[in-house]
Parts: sequence; structure tokens; C-alpha cells
Amino acid sequence: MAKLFEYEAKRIFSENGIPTPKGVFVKKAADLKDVQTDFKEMAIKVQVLTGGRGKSGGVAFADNQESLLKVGEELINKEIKGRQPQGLLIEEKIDIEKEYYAGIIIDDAYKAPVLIFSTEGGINVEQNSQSQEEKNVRLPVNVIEGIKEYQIRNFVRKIEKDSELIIKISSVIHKLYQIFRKYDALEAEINPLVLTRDRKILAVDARIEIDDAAVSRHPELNLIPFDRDKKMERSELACYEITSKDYRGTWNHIQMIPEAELKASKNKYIGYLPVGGGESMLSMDALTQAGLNIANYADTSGSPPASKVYRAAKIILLQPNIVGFYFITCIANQRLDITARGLIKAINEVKPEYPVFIRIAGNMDEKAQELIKKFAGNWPSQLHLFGREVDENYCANRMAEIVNDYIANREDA
Amino acid sequence: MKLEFDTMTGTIVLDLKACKTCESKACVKACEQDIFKMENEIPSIEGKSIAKKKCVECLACEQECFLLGNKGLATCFPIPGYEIEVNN
Repeated sequence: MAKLFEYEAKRIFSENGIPTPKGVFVKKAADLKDVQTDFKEMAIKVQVLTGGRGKSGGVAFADNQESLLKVGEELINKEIKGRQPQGLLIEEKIDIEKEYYAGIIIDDAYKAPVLIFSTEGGINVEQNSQSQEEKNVRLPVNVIEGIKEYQIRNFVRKIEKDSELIIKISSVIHKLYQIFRKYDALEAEINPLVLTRDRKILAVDARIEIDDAAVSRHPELNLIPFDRDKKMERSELACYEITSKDYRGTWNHIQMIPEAELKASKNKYIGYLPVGGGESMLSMDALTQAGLNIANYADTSGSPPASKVYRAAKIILLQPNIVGFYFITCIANQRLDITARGLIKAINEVKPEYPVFIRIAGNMDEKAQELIKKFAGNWPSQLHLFGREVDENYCANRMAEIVNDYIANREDA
Repeated sequence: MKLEFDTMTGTIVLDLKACKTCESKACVKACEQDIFKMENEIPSIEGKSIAKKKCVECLACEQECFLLGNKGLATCFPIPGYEIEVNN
């Protein structure tokens, strides 16, 4: 999810020798009046991290300063597929002769990066790639050996016969591959790669996605591995800040229901803290089938320290208006007594009045349960503690009963 | 009189006045990393940098002190954006 905006990807392209149109990036509408260009016509492109931007009205044109201001202001306030633009890229409008597609993705089938080239680029590339296979070529790359420019020329030559263009396009794809490797990308794409009427090859759009796990290797990009054009919740920011500095174990947190929405809604959501990635998904399905709504997704596994579990649990327990807290482990091999200590500290501090459900099973689960019982006497809410004797479906259904009772009793009171 | 030292991501504070009268010395026994040693009837550490390296933030010291000791040991693990809630 560490995607770069087009203007960021194009900056990398330019630094690495891939030609792009001349352009200016503006962050907000107020900056539009300061844009000074000698472009006869301008393409104004919203900066969002989603495909299909052109079809959704995220690209417009202007031929003078006045229309730039008018169109730019409209565009920057226009939501594109539920995302708020994070700026505008104003570029010289290009006189296009032909559109190509060039991209590199990680292909699970090859377990390698695969170069993709098509003589049919542009906004309908997905449809064209399925219906016109003779216009698309793919080439898996051995990452140890890399790839030479002549190999790319042979690859491009299969569908492009103009020798001058073969050389120019191959050079761009070779540089794109070098960028792909240098920045630990999962995807690098140029669509369209354009042949201009004066026979230049230009990257008119640019997409780069960095591997989440490699983000910390690229501080120069100032990235965070989240959807950057969505507003991040403070819980997600906290999780990122903590986990980016503390690599012991894992902790993921996604605020599925924003805090503001939780504040406005009552009797609907539960806080959710599982252990184990598979368990997280399995139990989420089980809870949903039991009729419960979950405020957040989380996962703390790989033997995190108790301090990390504490932080994860505290953030989840503090979600406004939740009607229950649900903690569940798979048959975990991490030391659950340590996990339990993190959980205990968070519950001790937050003192939730809603029901607390804990199913703790696996390595040192008996000690973990013993510890929890020792502290549970001081908790205002009733504890529902289970071990390996119950499965996920039982737990989810039991949680639904507990939450419904809690809501009914609270309404009666 | 306090003993305070940083861990990798937080802080541990001992109120040595409470420790002085603590019979259990539960924190010393609970610490699997042997961070604490007894000196003049109160827990002490070899040095702050050594304690920081050794501590695995398992919270056993705090919770055993609460259960068996004089409640003189506290840990603090800040959560960015949640300063008010953590302090409370």
C-alpha cells in the first residue's frame, strides 16, 4: 500500500533518466495563482492513489491562466472514487501520436518480476490486454542475473517493428526495471508511455508501489505504508509510529470504523484484538456471521513484548462507544503469559464497563489464565475467560449473546 | 527517593520508600532478566544502560509488585496521540 503519487513517481523517473512531460505540482488551490508556465495548453491532473482517474473526471485541460484557476479549483475539491485529491500536477499537454503500456509487476506464478509491454496503452489497457493478446508481451526476469538492454530490445521487437522506437522504448523499460529494483517496488508502471508527434517517447503517467516491508529502507521517500490519500486515524498512526521503531513481534491495526463515526453510533461495534494473522481473519468471519460489527482489525503475533500488546489493547479498548472487547488467540506458540500481561495492564488502566471476552490458548496458556484471573477481580466489567476447550465459532456466538445481554441490560437501566 | 530507568520503548519507576518496607521484593524475583539486585534492602540496578539493554518489557515486575509487593513500581509506555489517555 506504499504507493507513490504520480508527481513523486515522475520525480524518480526524471532523476533516473526516463523522460516525462514538463510539469509543476501544487499542493492546494491557493498555489494555483503562482503557477508560471510557458505551456500553450495544460493538462491538470488530480493526485490520488487510485486507478481510473481519467474516467472518473480527474483530468482536465486549460489553455490560459484564468481557466487553470477555474478548472484547478474544481478538480482539487473533487472526490475521486472516495478519495480526496492531495494536490494537482499541471503539465504541458502532449500531442500524442500513439500510446503504449510498460510495466513491471511481481508475478506469483513466476516468483519473479515480469516485464509487460503493450502497443495498446491508455485508459482501456485492461480490456485491450484481454482481447488483443497479440499486442502484449511478458518477460520474467531473474533478479540475480538482472536484465540487459539488448534482451529488452528483443522483447519489445516482438510487437513493435519500428527500429528507432524499439531502441527508445527499450531504454525506458530498462530504466524502469532499474528503478523497480532500486526502490524495492512491487509495481512500476507507465500508462501511457507515449510517442509524440515529434517522435519523442514520454512517460505521461507514472505509478510506483513500494513493498511495505521495504519502506524503512527508503527514508528519502518520506513514506508510510498506508493509503496516503485517505485520512489516517490516530490509532493507525500510533500503531505505525510504534511498530516502525520496535520490530519485536508484529502489530497491525486498521481502524475500519473511524473514531468520529464510533462517537456518533451506539450499541453497534466491538473492539477486536486477535493473535495470529489466520486467526484474525477466521475470527472476524465468525464474529460477522454471529451478527456482530467490528470497529477495528488487528493482529499481534510473532512474540511481541507485553508492552506492544499493552499498547495495541489500550488503543482498542479506548475506542468510543464500543459494546465489548474480544481477545482471541490461535493455538499460539508465543509465550501467552507475556501476552496476558500486556492485556492486563491495558484493562487495568482503561477499566472498561462493557464485557471483556478472552480466549487464550497455546503456549503457557494456563499461566496466562491464572494471571488474568488474579487481576480480573478489580475490573468493573464481567470477564468471560476461555481456553483451548472452545473453538472460534463457539466464541463468536457466545460473544454475540454476551453483547446482546449487555446492551439489553444497559437499555433497561 | 526514586529509581528510574528507561527501557527500549518506555520507563520503569520504583518508589524506593515503598520498596524499603516491602517484604516480598516481588519485582526482583519476577524479573527473568535479572535486572534488579538487592542493595541495602532495596532493589537496585547495575547501571541504566545495562538495564535498558536487558529489559524485555514483559511487565512482570509491575504486576507482581501490585499483587505481592508494596505497589511501588510503575511502568509507562507512551502511545503517540494518546498522551492524555495514557497519563490518566
